[in-house]
Amino acid sequence: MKDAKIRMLIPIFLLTFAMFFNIAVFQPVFDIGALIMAAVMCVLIAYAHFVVNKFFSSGDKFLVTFMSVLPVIGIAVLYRLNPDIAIKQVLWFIIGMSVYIALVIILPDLKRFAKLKYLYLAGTVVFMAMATFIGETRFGAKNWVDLGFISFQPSEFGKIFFVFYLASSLKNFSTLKSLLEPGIIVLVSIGFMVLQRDLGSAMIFSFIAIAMIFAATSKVKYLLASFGVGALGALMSYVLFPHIRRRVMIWLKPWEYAANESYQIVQGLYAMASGGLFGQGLGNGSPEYIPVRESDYIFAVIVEELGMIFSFGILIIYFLLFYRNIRSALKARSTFTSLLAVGFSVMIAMQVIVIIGGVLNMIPLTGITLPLISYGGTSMLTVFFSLGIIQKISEEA
Amino acid sequence: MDIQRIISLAFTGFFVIILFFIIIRSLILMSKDMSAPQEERENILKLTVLEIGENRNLRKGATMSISEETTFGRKNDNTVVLTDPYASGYHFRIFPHEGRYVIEDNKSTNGTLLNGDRLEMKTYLKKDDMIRVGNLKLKVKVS
Repeated sequence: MKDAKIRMLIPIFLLTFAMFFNIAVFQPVFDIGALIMAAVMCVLIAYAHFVVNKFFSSGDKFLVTFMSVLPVIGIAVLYRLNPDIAIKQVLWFIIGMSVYIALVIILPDLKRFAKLKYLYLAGTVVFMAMATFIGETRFGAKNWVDLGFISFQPSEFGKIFFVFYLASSLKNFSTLKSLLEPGIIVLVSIGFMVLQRDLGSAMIFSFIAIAMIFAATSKVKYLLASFGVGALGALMSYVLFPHIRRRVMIWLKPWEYAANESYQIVQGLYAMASGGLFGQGLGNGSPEYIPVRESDYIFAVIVEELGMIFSFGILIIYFLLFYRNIRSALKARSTFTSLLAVGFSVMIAMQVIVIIGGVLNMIPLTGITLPLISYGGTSMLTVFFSLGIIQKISEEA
Repeated sequence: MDIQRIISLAFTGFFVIILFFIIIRSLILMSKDMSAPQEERENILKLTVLEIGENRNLRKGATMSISEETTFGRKNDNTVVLTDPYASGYHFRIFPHEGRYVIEDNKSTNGTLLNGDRLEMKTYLKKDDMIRVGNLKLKVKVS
Protein backbone atom coordinates (compact mmCIF):
# COMPACT_ATOMS: atom_id res chain seq x y z
CA MET A 1 0.00 0.00 0.00
CA LYS A 2 1.36 3.34 -1.01
CA ASP A 3 -0.31 5.51 1.57
CA ALA A 4 1.94 5.90 4.60
CA LYS A 5 -1.03 6.50 6.89
CA ILE A 6 -2.75 3.30 5.86
CA ARG A 7 0.48 1.51 6.71
CA MET A 8 -0.14 2.50 10.33
CA LEU A 9 -2.67 -0.32 10.32
CA ILE A 10 0.08 -2.94 10.54
CA PRO A 11 1.34 -1.96 14.03
CA ILE A 12 -2.26 -1.55 15.23
CA PHE A 13 -3.10 -5.08 14.04
CA LEU A 14 0.07 -6.40 15.65
CA LEU A 15 -0.81 -4.74 18.95
CA THR A 16 -4.39 -6.06 18.85
CA PHE A 17 -3.42 -9.64 18.10
CA ALA A 18 -0.46 -9.64 20.50
CA MET A 19 -2.63 -8.42 23.38
CA PHE A 20 -5.42 -10.91 22.77
CA PHE A 21 -2.93 -13.72 22.11
CA ASN A 22 -1.31 -12.89 25.45
CA ILE A 23 -4.68 -13.24 27.17
CA ALA A 24 -5.57 -16.40 25.27
CA VAL A 25 -2.30 -18.13 26.15
CA PHE A 26 -2.71 -17.62 29.89
CA GLN A 27 -6.22 -19.07 30.02
CA PRO A 28 -6.45 -22.66 31.31
CA VAL A 29 -7.66 -23.67 27.83
CA PHE A 30 -6.39 -21.70 24.84
CA ASP A 31 -9.11 -19.13 24.27
CA ILE A 32 -9.98 -18.93 20.60
CA GLY A 33 -12.76 -16.41 21.36
CA ALA A 34 -10.16 -13.78 22.22
CA LEU A 35 -8.56 -14.08 18.80
CA ILE A 36 -11.95 -13.89 17.06
CA MET A 37 -12.61 -10.67 18.95
CA ALA A 38 -9.25 -9.29 17.86
CA ALA A 39 -10.07 -10.16 14.25
CA VAL A 40 -13.47 -8.43 14.45
CA MET A 41 -11.85 -5.27 15.77
CA CYS A 42 -9.15 -5.36 13.10
CA VAL A 43 -11.77 -5.51 10.35
CA LEU A 44 -13.59 -2.55 11.89
CA ILE A 45 -10.40 -0.51 12.29
CA ALA A 46 -9.29 -1.30 8.75
CA TYR A 47 -12.67 -0.20 7.39
CA ALA A 48 -12.54 3.09 9.31
CA HIS A 49 -8.98 3.78 8.11
CA PHE A 50 -9.97 2.98 4.58
CA VAL A 51 -12.97 5.31 4.60
CA VAL A 52 -11.06 8.21 6.12
CA ASN A 53 -7.92 7.86 4.02
CA LYS A 54 -9.40 7.05 0.64
CA PHE A 55 -12.72 8.85 0.46
CA PHE A 56 -12.19 11.81 2.75
CA SER A 57 -8.51 12.37 2.25
CA SER A 58 -8.71 16.08 2.93
CA GLY A 59 -9.50 15.48 6.61
CA ASP A 60 -7.22 14.63 9.50
CA LYS A 61 -5.74 11.17 9.12
CA PHE A 62 -4.26 10.74 12.58
CA LEU A 63 -7.45 10.88 14.63
CA VAL A 64 -8.63 7.53 13.34
CA THR A 65 -5.30 5.90 14.28
CA PHE A 66 -5.38 7.17 17.85
CA MET A 67 -9.03 6.37 18.32
CA SER A 68 -8.40 2.79 17.18
CA VAL A 69 -5.44 2.14 19.48
CA LEU A 70 -7.13 3.30 22.69
CA PRO A 71 -10.28 1.12 22.53
CA VAL A 72 -8.16 -1.90 21.56
CA ILE A 73 -6.11 -1.51 24.75
CA GLY A 74 -9.30 -0.90 26.75
CA ILE A 75 -11.10 -3.95 25.37
CA ALA A 76 -8.05 -6.19 25.90
CA VAL A 77 -7.85 -5.17 29.56
CA LEU A 78 -11.64 -5.54 29.96
CA TYR A 79 -11.47 -9.01 28.41
CA ARG A 80 -8.88 -9.97 30.96
CA LEU A 81 -11.12 -8.62 33.76
CA ASN A 82 -14.44 -9.94 32.55
CA PRO A 83 -15.03 -11.40 29.06
CA ASP A 84 -18.80 -10.70 29.13
CA ILE A 85 -18.24 -6.99 29.62
CA ALA A 86 -15.57 -6.95 26.91
CA ILE A 87 -18.02 -8.43 24.39
CA LYS A 88 -20.52 -5.67 25.21
CA GLN A 89 -17.73 -3.13 24.88
CA VAL A 90 -16.82 -4.49 21.43
CA LEU A 91 -20.45 -3.92 20.46
CA TRP A 92 -20.20 -0.35 21.72
CA PHE A 93 -16.93 0.07 19.85
CA ILE A 94 -18.64 -1.08 16.65
CA ILE A 95 -21.62 1.22 17.25
CA GLY A 96 -19.33 4.15 18.12
CA MET A 97 -17.14 3.62 15.08
CA SER A 98 -20.27 3.40 12.89
CA VAL A 99 -21.53 6.68 14.30
CA TYR A 100 -18.14 8.20 13.56
CA ILE A 101 -18.02 6.88 9.99
CA ALA A 102 -21.66 7.83 9.39
CA LEU A 103 -20.96 11.38 10.54
CA VAL A 104 -17.96 11.62 8.23
CA ILE A 105 -19.92 10.29 5.27
CA ILE A 106 -23.39 11.82 5.56
CA LEU A 107 -22.96 15.01 7.56
CA PRO A 108 -23.31 18.02 5.28
CA ASP A 109 -21.53 21.29 5.89
CA LEU A 110 -21.50 21.87 9.66
CA LYS A 111 -22.01 25.61 9.37
CA ARG A 112 -25.71 25.23 8.73
CA PHE A 113 -26.11 23.73 12.20
CA ALA A 114 -25.02 27.00 13.76
CA LYS A 115 -28.53 28.45 13.71
CA LEU A 116 -30.26 25.85 15.88
CA LYS A 117 -29.22 27.58 19.09
CA TYR A 118 -32.48 27.13 20.97
CA LEU A 119 -32.69 23.44 20.11
CA TYR A 120 -29.26 22.96 21.72
CA LEU A 121 -30.36 25.07 24.68
CA ALA A 122 -33.42 22.88 25.22
CA GLY A 123 -31.34 19.70 24.79
CA THR A 124 -28.78 20.88 27.31
CA VAL A 125 -31.33 21.79 29.96
CA VAL A 126 -33.41 18.62 29.49
CA PHE A 127 -30.47 16.22 29.68
CA MET A 128 -28.83 18.06 32.55
CA ALA A 129 -32.00 18.16 34.60
CA MET A 130 -33.21 14.66 33.73
CA ALA A 131 -31.22 12.71 36.31
CA THR A 132 -32.06 15.15 39.10
CA PHE A 133 -35.71 14.16 38.88
CA ILE A 134 -35.84 10.59 37.58
CA GLY A 135 -32.27 9.50 38.21
CA GLU A 136 -30.96 6.71 40.36
CA THR A 137 -27.85 6.70 42.48
CA ARG A 138 -24.79 4.71 41.46
CA PHE A 139 -21.44 5.07 43.25
CA GLY A 140 -22.69 8.08 45.20
CA ALA A 141 -23.79 10.16 42.22
CA LYS A 142 -27.39 10.44 41.14
CA ASN A 143 -26.57 10.58 37.46
CA TRP A 144 -28.09 7.47 35.90
CA VAL A 145 -31.47 7.20 34.24
CA ASP A 146 -33.10 3.82 33.83
CA LEU A 147 -35.83 3.73 31.20
CA GLY A 148 -36.48 0.03 31.73
CA PHE A 149 -35.03 -1.21 28.46
CA ILE A 150 -31.93 0.96 28.59
CA SER A 151 -30.03 2.84 31.26
CA PHE A 152 -27.71 5.69 30.48
CA GLN A 153 -26.01 8.79 31.87
CA PRO A 154 -27.95 11.79 30.53
CA SER A 155 -25.10 14.17 31.35
CA GLU A 156 -23.00 12.44 28.66
CA PHE A 157 -25.53 13.47 26.00
CA GLY A 158 -25.93 16.79 27.76
CA LYS A 159 -22.24 17.44 27.15
CA ILE A 160 -22.74 17.25 23.39
CA PHE A 161 -25.67 19.66 23.46
CA PHE A 162 -23.75 21.89 25.85
CA VAL A 163 -20.80 22.24 23.46
CA PHE A 164 -23.10 22.80 20.48
CA TYR A 165 -25.07 25.41 22.42
CA LEU A 166 -21.98 27.30 23.58
CA ALA A 167 -20.48 27.23 20.08
CA SER A 168 -23.64 28.61 18.47
CA SER A 169 -24.21 31.30 21.09
CA LEU A 170 -20.59 32.40 21.52
CA LYS A 171 -19.85 32.66 17.81
CA ASN A 172 -21.44 36.13 17.67
CA PHE A 173 -19.61 37.44 20.71
CA SER A 174 -19.56 41.23 20.69
CA THR A 175 -20.01 42.70 24.15
CA LEU A 176 -20.16 41.50 27.71
CA LYS A 177 -23.96 41.48 27.42
CA SER A 178 -23.88 38.71 24.84
CA LEU A 179 -22.15 36.50 27.42
CA LEU A 180 -25.10 36.81 29.81
CA GLU A 181 -27.32 34.09 28.35
CA PRO A 182 -24.57 31.47 27.86
CA GLY A 183 -23.27 32.33 31.33
CA ILE A 184 -26.64 31.55 32.90
CA ILE A 185 -26.94 28.26 30.99
CA VAL A 186 -23.43 27.25 32.09
CA LEU A 187 -24.24 27.99 35.73
CA VAL A 188 -27.57 26.14 35.53
CA SER A 189 -25.90 23.07 33.97
CA ILE A 190 -23.12 22.98 36.53
CA GLY A 191 -25.68 23.58 39.28
CA PHE A 192 -27.62 20.47 38.22
CA MET A 193 -24.39 18.44 38.16
CA VAL A 194 -23.58 19.54 41.71
CA LEU A 195 -27.13 18.66 42.82
CA GLN A 196 -26.68 15.20 41.30
CA ARG A 197 -23.35 14.97 43.16
CA ASP A 198 -21.63 14.30 39.85
CA LEU A 199 -18.55 16.34 40.64
CA GLY A 200 -16.46 15.00 37.79
CA SER A 201 -18.97 16.19 35.22
CA ALA A 202 -19.34 19.54 37.00
CA MET A 203 -15.56 19.99 36.72
CA ILE A 204 -15.54 19.06 33.03
CA PHE A 205 -18.44 21.35 32.19
CA SER A 206 -16.66 24.22 33.93
CA PHE A 207 -13.46 23.67 31.98
CA ILE A 208 -15.32 23.30 28.66
CA ALA A 209 -17.11 26.59 29.35
CA ILE A 210 -13.92 28.40 30.40
CA ALA A 211 -12.00 27.16 27.35
CA MET A 212 -14.78 28.01 24.91
CA ILE A 213 -15.40 31.48 26.39
CA PHE A 214 -11.69 32.23 26.18
CA ALA A 215 -11.46 30.88 22.63
CA ALA A 216 -14.45 32.99 21.56
CA THR A 217 -13.45 36.25 23.25
CA SER A 218 -9.65 35.87 23.35
CA LYS A 219 -9.59 38.28 26.28
CA VAL A 220 -7.54 37.39 29.33
CA LYS A 221 -9.88 39.29 31.64
CA TYR A 222 -12.77 36.95 30.78
CA LEU A 223 -10.49 33.98 31.36
CA LEU A 224 -9.53 35.29 34.80
CA ALA A 225 -13.14 36.18 35.56
CA SER A 226 -14.44 32.72 34.64
CA PHE A 227 -11.69 31.08 36.67
CA GLY A 228 -12.67 33.36 39.54
CA VAL A 229 -16.33 32.33 39.27
CA GLY A 230 -15.25 28.69 39.05
CA ALA A 231 -13.08 28.96 42.15
CA LEU A 232 -15.86 30.73 44.03
CA GLY A 233 -18.30 28.00 43.01
CA ALA A 234 -15.89 25.29 44.12
CA LEU A 235 -15.37 27.03 47.47
CA MET A 236 -19.12 27.48 47.96
CA SER A 237 -19.90 23.87 47.23
CA TYR A 238 -17.07 22.86 49.57
CA VAL A 239 -18.72 24.80 52.37
CA LEU A 240 -22.28 23.73 51.49
CA PHE A 241 -21.99 20.02 50.66
CA PRO A 242 -20.53 17.45 53.07
CA HIS A 243 -19.80 14.91 50.30
CA ILE A 244 -17.45 17.37 48.66
CA ARG A 245 -15.66 18.01 51.95
CA ARG A 246 -15.22 14.26 52.32
CA ARG A 247 -13.67 14.00 48.85
CA VAL A 248 -11.13 16.68 49.69
CA MET A 249 -10.40 15.08 53.04
CA ILE A 250 -9.57 11.66 51.56
CA TRP A 251 -7.54 13.34 48.86
CA LEU A 252 -5.35 15.07 51.45
CA LYS A 253 -5.03 12.10 53.81
CA PRO A 254 -5.72 8.91 51.85
CA TRP A 255 -3.82 6.62 54.23
CA GLU A 256 -5.77 7.60 57.34
CA TYR A 257 -9.04 6.40 55.85
CA ALA A 258 -7.58 3.48 53.90
CA ALA A 259 -10.11 1.00 55.25
CA ASN A 260 -13.18 3.16 54.68
CA GLU A 261 -13.66 6.26 52.55
CA SER A 262 -10.39 6.15 50.63
CA TYR A 263 -10.33 2.36 50.21
CA GLN A 264 -10.63 2.78 46.45
CA ILE A 265 -7.78 5.30 46.14
CA VAL A 266 -5.47 3.28 48.34
CA GLN A 267 -6.17 0.04 46.50
CA GLY A 268 -5.49 1.84 43.23
CA LEU A 269 -2.21 3.22 44.56
CA TYR A 270 -1.14 -0.24 45.80
CA ALA A 271 -1.98 -1.75 42.44
CA MET A 272 -0.04 0.87 40.50
CA ALA A 273 2.94 0.60 42.84
CA SER A 274 3.05 -3.17 42.40
CA GLY A 275 3.04 -2.70 38.64
CA GLY A 276 6.32 -0.82 38.42
CA LEU A 277 7.90 0.10 35.13
CA PHE A 278 6.97 -2.99 33.14
CA GLY A 279 3.96 -4.24 35.07
CA GLN A 280 2.98 -7.67 36.31
CA GLY A 281 2.05 -8.84 32.87
CA LEU A 282 -1.42 -8.90 31.32
CA GLY A 283 -3.44 -11.42 33.34
CA ASN A 284 -0.97 -11.72 36.24
CA GLY A 285 -1.95 -8.82 38.46
CA SER A 286 -4.60 -8.81 41.16
CA PRO A 287 -7.10 -6.20 39.96
CA GLU A 288 -9.90 -7.92 41.88
CA TYR A 289 -8.97 -5.74 44.87
CA ILE A 290 -9.67 -2.51 42.99
CA PRO A 291 -13.27 -1.26 43.13
CA VAL A 292 -14.91 -0.03 39.87
CA ARG A 293 -11.98 -1.53 37.95
CA GLU A 294 -13.92 -1.77 34.69
CA SER A 295 -14.73 1.89 34.26
CA ASP A 296 -13.27 4.66 36.41
CA TYR A 297 -10.32 2.72 37.78
CA ILE A 298 -9.23 0.98 34.60
CA PHE A 299 -6.10 3.11 34.48
CA ALA A 300 -4.91 1.56 37.76
CA VAL A 301 -5.40 -1.90 36.24
CA ILE A 302 -3.44 -0.90 33.14
CA VAL A 303 -0.54 0.45 35.21
CA GLU A 304 -0.52 -2.65 37.39
CA GLU A 305 -0.51 -5.15 34.56
CA LEU A 306 1.19 -3.35 31.68
CA GLY A 307 3.48 -1.03 33.62
CA MET A 308 4.20 2.66 33.82
CA ILE A 309 6.04 2.95 30.49
CA PHE A 310 3.07 1.58 28.57
CA SER A 311 0.76 3.90 30.51
CA PHE A 312 2.93 6.87 29.63
CA GLY A 313 2.51 5.79 26.02
CA ILE A 314 -1.27 5.92 26.47
CA LEU A 315 -0.98 9.43 27.92
CA ILE A 316 1.15 10.51 24.96
CA ILE A 317 -1.51 9.15 22.59
CA TYR A 318 -4.16 11.18 24.43
CA PHE A 319 -1.93 14.21 24.13
CA LEU A 320 -1.45 13.69 20.39
CA LEU A 321 -5.21 13.24 20.00
CA PHE A 322 -5.74 16.56 21.77
CA TYR A 323 -3.08 18.21 19.62
CA ARG A 324 -4.71 17.02 16.39
CA ASN A 325 -8.13 18.17 17.64
CA ILE A 326 -6.91 21.65 18.50
CA ARG A 327 -5.12 21.80 15.18
CA SER A 328 -8.39 21.28 13.32
CA ALA A 329 -9.94 23.95 15.55
CA LEU A 330 -7.25 26.40 14.46
CA LYS A 331 -7.70 25.55 10.81
CA ALA A 332 -11.51 25.62 10.81
CA ARG A 333 -13.09 28.13 8.45
CA SER A 334 -15.90 29.45 10.64
CA THR A 335 -16.01 30.53 14.28
CA PHE A 336 -18.82 28.07 14.99
CA THR A 337 -16.91 24.98 13.84
CA SER A 338 -13.72 26.23 15.42
CA LEU A 339 -15.47 26.64 18.78
CA LEU A 340 -17.10 23.22 18.42
CA ALA A 341 -13.71 21.62 17.93
CA VAL A 342 -12.27 23.49 20.92
CA GLY A 343 -15.19 22.39 23.10
CA PHE A 344 -14.99 18.73 22.15
CA SER A 345 -11.21 18.51 22.40
CA VAL A 346 -11.21 20.14 25.84
CA MET A 347 -14.01 17.78 26.87
CA ILE A 348 -11.97 14.68 26.00
CA ALA A 349 -8.70 16.05 27.39
CA MET A 350 -10.27 17.19 30.67
CA GLN A 351 -11.90 13.81 31.17
CA VAL A 352 -8.47 12.19 30.87
CA ILE A 353 -6.85 14.68 33.25
CA VAL A 354 -9.64 14.54 35.84
CA ILE A 355 -9.81 10.75 36.08
CA ILE A 356 -6.09 9.99 35.79
CA GLY A 357 -5.32 12.82 38.21
CA GLY A 358 -7.91 11.33 40.55
CA VAL A 359 -6.58 7.78 40.24
CA LEU A 360 -3.03 9.01 40.94
CA ASN A 361 -4.46 11.04 43.88
CA MET A 362 -3.06 14.29 42.51
CA ILE A 363 -6.50 15.94 42.54
CA PRO A 364 -9.63 14.92 44.48
CA LEU A 365 -11.06 11.77 42.95
CA THR A 366 -14.28 12.16 41.00
CA GLY A 367 -15.77 9.22 39.21
CA ILE A 368 -15.85 9.64 35.45
CA THR A 369 -14.81 7.36 32.63
CA LEU A 370 -11.48 7.32 30.86
CA PRO A 371 -12.44 8.23 27.27
CA LEU A 372 -12.29 5.33 24.76
CA ILE A 373 -10.75 2.90 27.29
CA SER A 374 -13.24 2.57 30.16
CA TYR A 375 -16.25 0.32 29.91
CA GLY A 376 -19.36 2.34 29.18
CA GLY A 377 -21.67 2.66 26.23
CA THR A 378 -22.78 6.23 26.73
CA SER A 379 -19.25 7.48 27.18
CA MET A 380 -18.02 5.55 24.13
CA LEU A 381 -20.84 6.96 21.98
CA THR A 382 -20.25 10.53 23.17
CA VAL A 383 -16.53 10.44 22.47
CA PHE A 384 -16.92 8.85 19.04
CA PHE A 385 -19.62 11.38 18.17
CA SER A 386 -17.33 14.26 19.19
CA LEU A 387 -14.45 12.82 17.22
CA GLY A 388 -16.71 12.39 14.19
CA ILE A 389 -17.60 16.09 14.37
CA ILE A 390 -13.94 17.05 14.75
CA GLN A 391 -13.00 14.81 11.82
CA LYS A 392 -15.63 16.61 9.75
CA ILE A 393 -14.30 20.01 10.86
CA SER A 394 -10.74 19.00 9.94
CA GLU A 395 -11.90 18.63 6.33
CA GLU A 396 -12.54 22.35 6.12
CA ALA A 397 -8.86 23.24 6.32
CA MET B 1 11.54 -15.76 37.94
CA ASP B 2 9.19 -18.40 36.72
CA ILE B 3 8.44 -19.04 33.09
CA GLN B 4 5.08 -17.29 33.10
CA ARG B 5 6.71 -14.08 34.39
CA ILE B 6 9.29 -14.18 31.62
CA ILE B 7 6.65 -14.71 28.92
CA SER B 8 4.60 -11.87 30.40
CA LEU B 9 7.58 -9.54 30.38
CA ALA B 10 8.29 -10.44 26.77
CA PHE B 11 4.67 -9.70 25.85
CA THR B 12 4.65 -6.39 27.71
CA GLY B 13 7.95 -5.40 26.13
CA PHE B 14 6.44 -6.14 22.74
CA PHE B 15 3.34 -4.03 23.54
CA VAL B 16 5.54 -1.14 24.66
CA ILE B 17 7.62 -1.33 21.48
CA ILE B 18 4.56 -1.30 19.21
CA LEU B 19 2.83 1.48 21.13
CA PHE B 20 5.88 3.71 20.96
CA PHE B 21 6.44 2.74 17.34
CA ILE B 22 2.92 4.03 16.59
CA ILE B 23 3.63 7.24 18.52
CA ILE B 24 6.99 7.91 16.85
CA ARG B 25 5.68 7.02 13.42
CA SER B 26 2.75 9.45 13.89
CA LEU B 27 5.15 12.17 15.00
CA ILE B 28 7.34 11.65 11.93
CA LEU B 29 4.31 11.75 9.62
CA MET B 30 3.02 14.88 11.37
CA SER B 31 6.33 16.67 10.98
CA LYS B 32 6.30 15.77 7.30
CA ASP B 33 2.81 17.25 7.00
CA MET B 34 3.99 20.41 8.71
CA SER B 35 6.91 21.01 6.39
CA ALA B 36 4.71 20.37 3.34
CA PRO B 37 3.18 23.89 3.08
CA GLN B 38 6.61 25.46 2.55
CA GLU B 39 7.35 23.17 -0.36
CA GLU B 40 3.95 23.96 -1.78
CA ARG B 41 5.10 27.28 -3.21
CA GLU B 42 7.87 25.73 -5.27
CA ASN B 43 5.65 22.86 -6.28
CA ILE B 44 3.81 23.88 -9.45
CA LEU B 45 1.56 21.58 -11.41
CA LYS B 46 1.99 21.75 -15.18
CA LEU B 47 -0.66 20.59 -17.59
CA THR B 48 0.20 20.04 -21.23
CA VAL B 49 -2.60 20.31 -23.76
CA LEU B 50 -2.40 17.21 -25.96
CA GLU B 51 -5.69 17.61 -27.83
CA ILE B 52 -7.74 20.82 -27.83
CA GLY B 53 -11.02 19.15 -28.83
CA GLU B 54 -13.70 21.78 -29.43
CA ASN B 55 -11.92 24.42 -27.38
CA ARG B 56 -10.85 27.06 -29.89
CA ASN B 57 -9.25 29.21 -27.18
CA LEU B 58 -6.62 26.59 -26.30
CA ARG B 59 -3.52 25.78 -28.29
CA LYS B 60 -2.21 22.27 -28.83
CA GLY B 61 1.10 21.68 -27.04
CA ALA B 62 0.66 24.65 -24.70
CA THR B 63 1.45 24.28 -20.98
CA MET B 64 -0.70 25.57 -18.12
CA SER B 65 0.97 26.24 -14.76
CA ILE B 66 -1.25 25.70 -11.74
CA SER B 67 -0.32 26.80 -8.24
CA GLU B 68 -3.71 27.51 -6.70
CA GLU B 69 -7.32 26.43 -7.12
CA THR B 70 -8.19 26.35 -10.81
CA THR B 71 -11.64 25.70 -12.20
CA PHE B 72 -12.51 24.47 -15.67
CA GLY B 73 -15.91 24.89 -17.32
CA ARG B 74 -18.08 26.69 -19.87
CA LYS B 75 -19.15 29.60 -17.63
CA ASN B 76 -17.12 32.79 -18.02
CA ASP B 77 -15.99 33.04 -14.41
CA ASN B 78 -13.97 29.82 -14.56
CA THR B 79 -10.19 30.13 -14.41
CA VAL B 80 -9.98 28.21 -17.67
CA VAL B 81 -13.02 28.71 -19.86
CA LEU B 82 -13.89 25.74 -22.07
CA THR B 83 -15.88 26.33 -25.26
CA ASP B 84 -16.61 22.65 -25.85
CA PRO B 85 -20.44 22.18 -25.75
CA TYR B 86 -19.74 18.81 -24.13
CA ALA B 87 -18.35 20.55 -21.02
CA SER B 88 -20.60 21.59 -18.10
CA GLY B 89 -20.82 25.13 -16.68
CA TYR B 90 -18.42 24.26 -13.88
CA HIS B 91 -16.91 21.03 -15.02
CA PHE B 92 -14.01 20.17 -12.74
CA ARG B 93 -11.44 21.81 -10.53
CA ILE B 94 -7.85 21.24 -9.47
CA PHE B 95 -6.59 22.49 -6.12
CA PRO B 96 -3.45 22.08 -4.01
CA HIS B 97 -3.57 20.07 -0.78
CA GLU B 98 -0.60 19.27 1.45
CA GLY B 99 1.89 19.89 -1.33
CA ARG B 100 0.03 17.79 -3.87
CA TYR B 101 -2.77 18.53 -6.29
CA VAL B 102 -6.28 17.16 -6.13
CA ILE B 103 -8.72 16.91 -9.02
CA GLU B 104 -12.44 16.91 -8.36
CA ASP B 105 -15.28 16.54 -10.84
CA ASN B 106 -18.00 19.12 -10.16
CA LYS B 107 -20.90 16.69 -10.76
CA SER B 108 -20.59 17.45 -14.48
CA THR B 109 -23.15 15.99 -16.86
CA ASN B 110 -20.73 14.15 -19.08
CA GLY B 111 -18.03 13.48 -16.53
CA THR B 112 -14.29 13.86 -16.41
CA LEU B 113 -12.06 10.95 -17.37
CA LEU B 114 -8.84 10.38 -15.44
CA ASN B 115 -6.64 7.82 -17.20
CA GLY B 116 -9.73 6.54 -19.00
CA ASP B 117 -11.88 6.04 -15.88
CA ARG B 118 -14.71 8.34 -14.92
CA LEU B 119 -13.74 10.48 -11.93
CA GLU B 120 -16.05 9.69 -8.99
CA MET B 121 -14.30 11.36 -6.06
CA LYS B 122 -11.45 13.67 -5.17
CA THR B 123 -8.20 12.15 -6.38
CA TYR B 124 -4.57 13.15 -6.06
CA LEU B 125 -2.96 13.89 -9.42
CA LYS B 126 0.33 12.25 -10.18
CA LYS B 127 2.85 12.53 -12.97
CA ASP B 128 1.69 11.44 -16.44
CA ASP B 129 -2.01 11.32 -15.47
CA MET B 130 -4.31 11.93 -18.43
CA ILE B 131 -7.34 14.17 -17.92
CA ARG B 132 -10.00 14.04 -20.58
CA VAL B 133 -13.13 16.14 -21.01
CA GLY B 134 -14.88 15.48 -24.30
CA ASN B 135 -12.04 15.60 -26.78
CA LEU B 136 -9.87 17.86 -24.64
CA LYS B 137 -6.86 15.92 -23.39
CA LEU B 138 -4.52 17.23 -20.71
CA LYS B 139 -1.38 15.52 -19.47
CA VAL B 140 0.05 16.14 -15.97
CA LYS B 141 3.68 17.13 -15.61
CA VAL B 142 4.96 17.81 -12.09
CA SER B 143 7.97 20.09 -11.93
